[in-house]
Amino acid sequence: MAEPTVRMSGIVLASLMFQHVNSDSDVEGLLLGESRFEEQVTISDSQADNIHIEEIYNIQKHIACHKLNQFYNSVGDVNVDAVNKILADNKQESVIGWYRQRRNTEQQMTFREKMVHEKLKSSLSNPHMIFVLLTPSKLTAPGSTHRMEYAAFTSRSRQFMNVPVLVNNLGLLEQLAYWKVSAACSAAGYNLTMKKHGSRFFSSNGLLREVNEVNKMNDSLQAELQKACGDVEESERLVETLQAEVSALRRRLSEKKQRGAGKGSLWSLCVRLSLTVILFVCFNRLYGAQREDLATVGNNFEIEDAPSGFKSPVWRHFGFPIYTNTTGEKWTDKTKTACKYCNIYRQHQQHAAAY
Amino acid sequence: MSPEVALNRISPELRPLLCSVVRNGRVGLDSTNCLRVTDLKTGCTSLTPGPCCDRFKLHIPYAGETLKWDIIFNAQYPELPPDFIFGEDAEFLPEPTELPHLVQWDAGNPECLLQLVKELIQQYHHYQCQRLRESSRLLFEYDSLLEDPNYGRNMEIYAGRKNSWTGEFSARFLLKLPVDFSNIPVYLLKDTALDPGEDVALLSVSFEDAEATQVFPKLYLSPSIEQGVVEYDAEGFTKLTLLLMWKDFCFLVHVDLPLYFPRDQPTLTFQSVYHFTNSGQLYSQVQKSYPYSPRWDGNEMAKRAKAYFKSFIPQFQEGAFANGKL
Repeated sequence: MAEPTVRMSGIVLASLMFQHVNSDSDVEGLLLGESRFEEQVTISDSQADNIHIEEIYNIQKHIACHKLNQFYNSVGDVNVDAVNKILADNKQESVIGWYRQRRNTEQQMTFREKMVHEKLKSSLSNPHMIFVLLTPSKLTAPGSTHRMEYAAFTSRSRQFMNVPVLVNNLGLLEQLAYWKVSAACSAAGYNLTMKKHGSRFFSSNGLLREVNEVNKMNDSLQAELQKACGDVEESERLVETLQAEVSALRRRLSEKKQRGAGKGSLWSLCVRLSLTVILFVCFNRLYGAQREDLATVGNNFEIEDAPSGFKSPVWRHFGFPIYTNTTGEKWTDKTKTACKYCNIYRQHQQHAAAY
Repeated sequence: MSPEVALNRISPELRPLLCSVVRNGRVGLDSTNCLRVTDLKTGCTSLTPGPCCDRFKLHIPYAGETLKWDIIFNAQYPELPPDFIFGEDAEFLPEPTELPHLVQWDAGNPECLLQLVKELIQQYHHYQCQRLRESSRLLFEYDSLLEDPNYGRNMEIYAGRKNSWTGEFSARFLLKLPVDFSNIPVYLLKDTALDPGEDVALLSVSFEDAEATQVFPKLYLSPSIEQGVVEYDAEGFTKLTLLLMWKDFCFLVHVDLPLYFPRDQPTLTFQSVYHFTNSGQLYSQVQKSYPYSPRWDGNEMAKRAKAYFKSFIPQFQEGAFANGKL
């Protein structure tokens, strides 16, 4: 079944409202425009072929009646002569419906409006007609804000139904479909102007001239883009090769380091152990008899660092004892060495063995 | 909104039309309820000086419901006929040829609008009767009543909305009971200055489902009739108590209808309001053998009962005085 939609430009809607605002009663008139049927075929995963028919009423113009009940009587019988008089130079075929504006009433068709609508359809031999209803009302009690509601109706088998109204703005609000071409303007002046100046903008195939130029530019752009893509690919491949080389070099370097680092550490350990043993033996020979001295002296000595001319690393850990006699005089005994970490002989020997 | 307020706000050219509606607007069976006007609005701009209201809602009692119809005039074109919006009954489309007061609208005739409303209600009644066809059971009930001239012409039908969830369909029948009140004297009226209106007894029967398995009857009595009734059985309608007065002597009459009435005769119990028996009860006499025939219709039974009362009351009164204590 066809789904009807009413479309009108903001200008037409605004002029309808403007007419009523300037009137002290209800107003009514005829709507001119174009109605067409569009078949849309939708293909989806679930359904291969879904045909959807849209019935679109494009309102382009309205003609107001000078007074109410001008083209019908009390029971809704339509006077076709009166309709033609209202239309004046406009064609009867361009009538796609009629409208009425009534203040402070419900947004429903009245009894007479339904009668008139049915009779208008049969009088003008047009089964597809719409009725547009505008119902302004006060929104606030003091009347500072007014509301202008509008709706469209159509009838099928004497059943009246509401039809959505879309107001064409600078851009359509639909985002899911392609742009639908609006109805061609029927104004004679417009057609004359297009005929006169059209050749400056349109080529022989009906497209705008700039469209061909833009297409050419697009082709050039595509070629440049492809070239740039090729260059990028080449450089990427080069980068890949270089990265592989760098990885190989790094691997070799780390291997070399590992080999060198292992010998060095073992060697230094051997040197330290040797030194420690040597020191232990030396101290044992030199100071083994003087354990008692050291033990006698005990903890009451300070240690003097070796002179700076002594370069051996062993002097970091040893020094010369400084004794203090009973009178408080200090003297350095350079015939002995003392461990900086302990103060008695036994511990001294342990430290020497450790070194 | 009182009628006076409505008349003050309506546009002067439309005032006579509205006046007859709000003052004389009794339509339908329930003539005790008047037509009411609310939501007076205007189709003029807010700069137009008042009074300029030309559209309003009309509340119409019908079959126990209240229809709310919008009536739209145009204050700038008062000669034009009104237009209507029939509330929730969007599918109601009356036949224009059956509305002579619309075809020949006469704005100068103050009764024109009221007559047009009555014609529309007639059409609405036909529309509701058509809707009964959705239920064969209810249609049968309707056809049965239609065959009886006593009810056929005095009936209002309201077929409710079909419940889209349950598919249930309900209806209400409002019937004017064919009772002759002319012979029943007015014994008690609280305020004789007030117009009690036409004497009427209405029976409202609600069918809650299409198969008429749930039926709810309700009796409406006009105020003047209700004054004389002390109490009655509102469910089974098997008992009625009246307070009557004869030559300044007040007494109660209890009418008990047996299970197989009218085959079995009702029992009448007369009770004095002044006298007590020795046992402390109100003095009363039960009558079971008074003139009666099951073949009489309701009015004949009432007429015969009235004649019997006239003959029996004097001796009842004597008995009450002789055997009862004040």
